Parts: sequence; C-alpha cells; structure tokens
Amino acid sequence: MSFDWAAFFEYLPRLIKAAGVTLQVSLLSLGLTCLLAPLLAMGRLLGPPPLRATVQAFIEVIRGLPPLVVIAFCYFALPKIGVVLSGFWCGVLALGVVGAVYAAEIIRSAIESLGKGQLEAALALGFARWRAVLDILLPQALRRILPPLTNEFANLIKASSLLSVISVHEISQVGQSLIFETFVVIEILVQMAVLYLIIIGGVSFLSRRLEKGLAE
Amino acid sequence: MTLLQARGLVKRFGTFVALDGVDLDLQRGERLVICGPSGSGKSTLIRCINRLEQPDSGAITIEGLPSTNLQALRRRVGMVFQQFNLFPNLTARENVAVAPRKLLGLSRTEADARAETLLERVQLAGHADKLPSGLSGGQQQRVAIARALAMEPVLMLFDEPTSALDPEMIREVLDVMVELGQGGMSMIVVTHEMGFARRAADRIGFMDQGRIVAMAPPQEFFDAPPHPRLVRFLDNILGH
Ligand SMILES: Nc1ncnc2c1ncn2[C@@H]1O[C@H](COP(=O)(O)OP(=O)(O)OP(=O)(O)O)[C@@H](O)[C@H]1O
Ligand SMILES: [Mg+2]
Repeated sequence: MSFDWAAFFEYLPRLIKAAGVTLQVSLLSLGLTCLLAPLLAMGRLLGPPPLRATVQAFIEVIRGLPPLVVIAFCYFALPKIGVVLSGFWCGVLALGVVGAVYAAEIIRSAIESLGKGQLEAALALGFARWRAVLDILLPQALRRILPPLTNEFANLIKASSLLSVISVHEISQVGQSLIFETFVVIEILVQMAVLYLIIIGGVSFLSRRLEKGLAE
Repeated sequence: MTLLQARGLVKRFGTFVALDGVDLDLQRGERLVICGPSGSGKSTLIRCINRLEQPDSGAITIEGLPSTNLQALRRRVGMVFQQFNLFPNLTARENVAVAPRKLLGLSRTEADARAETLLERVQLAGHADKLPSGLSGGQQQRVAIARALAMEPVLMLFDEPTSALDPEMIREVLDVMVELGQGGMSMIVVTHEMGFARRAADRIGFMDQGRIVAMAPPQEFFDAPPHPRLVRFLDNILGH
C-alpha cells in the first residue's frame, strides 16, 4: 500500500474548512465553559442550601451522562420546549455545559483541598464566606486548577467530534463522509489526526502559557 | 469594665456535649489563660467566642453588644491558630496587609505600612518579603499574630499557639505574647505553657468535660489549686 499524495492534497481544503468549524465550536464552547464553570462552582460552594443542592444535582446528572446523550438531548428535546437551535449552536451549548460541570468540579475540589484552616483563618479575620473564597482561597487554588483544566479543554475539543451525529460539518463528520464517498481512507484519517493535533496542541500551548504567566 | 461576657454556653457535636453551660467574664485588658485535659472543650470555647463554632445555646456579648453581625464581630476579635494557617501564596507583609486592605479599604501603601509596623513589633522587621515556607515555625506564628493584630482587635484569642513548635521556638512566640499583654491587649490564651501562665496571666481557668471547673489568679491556681482534678492535672503536666 502506498500513500496517495494526490488524493491527500485533493481533499485537504475540505478538511481544513471543517477544521475551521471544529475550531469555532471548540472556542465558543470553551468560552461558555469559562463563563459557566465559576458560576456553578460558586453556587455549589457558597449558595444557600437549596441552590447548592440544585447545582450539585445538575452537575451529577450531566457528569453521569455520556456527552453524546447531552448533545442529542439539546438537539432533539430542546425544540419540544420551544428552543430551536442550529446543529452548530446546539453543539456549542451541549459541549459548553458538559465542559462547565467538569471544570466546576475541578475548581470546587481545588478549593476544598486547601483545607479548613485557610478558610477559618480568613473568616476569623472578618472575611465573609464568599469573599474568603474569592479573595483568599481562589488565588491559592488557581495553580491546582489550571493543569487539570487544560486537560479538560483538550477533552472538549475531542468531544466536538461527536457533533458529527447532528450533522455539524466539523472534522469528523466531513472526514467520514469523504471516506465513504471516495474510499480514500488512510490519507483522510491522517489529515483528520493532524488537524486535531494542531488544534489541541494550540489550545494546550496557550493554556500552558497562561499557567506560567499566573505562576509568576 | 467588662469586655466579654458569656452566659450558659452549650455546644453539642451530635450527642456529645463539648461545652456544658460555660459562663465567662473578661475585663478589658485582662489576660486569661485556659488549660485542661485534651477534649475538655478549650478550643470549642474560644471558637464559640468568634463564632467559628455556633453555640447551641447561651449568649455572648462583647463590649455590651450581642454579636448580630458575624463579620463585624470577627473584625474585633483576633485569632491565632495552633497550625498558624498563614496564606502560603502571600509574603509575610501581604499576609498581614491583606485583611486591612480588602476589608477596611486601606490603600496598598497604608496597609503595607501597617504591616511593616506590626512585623517590627513581632521582631520580624527583615522578613517582610518572605513567603511562609521560607520562615521557621516560630516566625510563622509571629506573622500570624501580626496578621490578627492588623484588624486592630479589642480581644485576641490564642488556641495552643506554641504546641506545633519546636521547643527552641516557643520562647520567641511567648515573649511576643507577654509583650502584647503588657501593652494592654485583652487576651484569652489556651495553652499548657504554665511558665507563661505564671508570668503573664491575670487569671487561669481550668476546664474539664465542657465546664470551667476552677478559675483563680496564678499564685492561688498553682499553690492552692481549687479543684481536686486540677491538682492531678498540674501534677501530670508539671511532672511532679
Ligand atoms: N467538629 C467536631 N465534630 C465532632 N466532635 C468535635 C468537633 N470538634 C470538637 N469535637 C469534640 O469535642 C470535644 C472537645 O473538643 P475541643 O477541641 O474543644 O477540645 P480541647 O480541649 O481543645 O482539646 P485539645 O487539647 O485536644 O485541643 C472533643 O471530644 C472533640 O472530639
Ligand atoms: Mg484544642
């Protein structure tokens, strides 16, 4: 078997376009994750008991489901309650929410792992609970939050391949249909792999830079 | 003048009664030492005073006022922990300055100046830029004292401030505390350092099974212990 460079370059533009979609979905859902995760974590840590319980239940449910089910739910069930989103935005919403519950748990456990003494020291000085968490505990927890969060971001990008089931024209969907159309398998798989690696590598690189910046 | 008045404090953990109706009065400027066997409720008592624990019943007033606002109460009551609990990501200066800056609205310059003054007062003038990990246990505990003083409390609580320290560092922390008391600070100190108690306390209380069973000035406390269990406790701790 030989590698067919002609086929490789013939299909490359279509996959690069698909990579653009993957990148867009990923960045938008990362944005949503970054917006939602701190809110969920703070709700869970600081909210009044009913809010805490609700947030915890929400986190448990989403974490208990395969991301594919969450995606399908957004796509097929939300329209029944009048929320009609395109496949693209549905994907952003589903991945953003899934990312957010995992990220919220990362934030919460990093803060809790600091131990009771830190919280009590801040409370004893007169910090209200929420200010103790935001002003004293969160800055300490940041260095424990960022590495697993970077990991979570990579998982999110990989999970964007699931959006092929709701016909979002991202890398996996386009790659698959090309393979079925053309029977050019290896060349297209290699392209898919390389494009994912570039995107994931780029995001990991950026968040590692951020980690370093914050460590100083 | 009475600074602190506690009446009928009860604290249960499940069915276990950790505080069993404690009454306590502290005059302004008074230095009270509390000792007693492990599990007798010493920590629980002082943690109820700044409400790190919520008593199940009983009343506490400070300067005649009941503490309706938790944060306001805690700003007036400083606390020093056995394990120091310094913020590890902040330098000594920042540890001391953070609360005045964030809670009292001091500018960075003002808060830093306050921190420098307090660090000098606990003999740590040259160490302001060090992180807690770069300080010895005794130094860390003195930073923790300065941090509590930074909110200008009317009362300082100490929960076994020297029991996590190597013997050679105990003295430097106790010296700072003696000086603080001589400067007129009202203090409640849970400790088993009987030398400190003799030197610095106005009164010494002995707790047993959730009650204060004896309370006397040092001389009487050591020379004519007013409770049989205290006699045994002193024998043990003083190694007679
Ligand atoms: N959060 C808690 N939950 C359950 N039990 C507790 C809790 N805090 C304290 N206790 C119990 O209450 C009792 C009194 O505890 P406390 O810490 O006040 O004792 P102490 O006199 O400070 O003892 P030590 O000298 O060991 O510090 C102990 O038996 C302890 O096990
Ligand atoms: Mg104790």
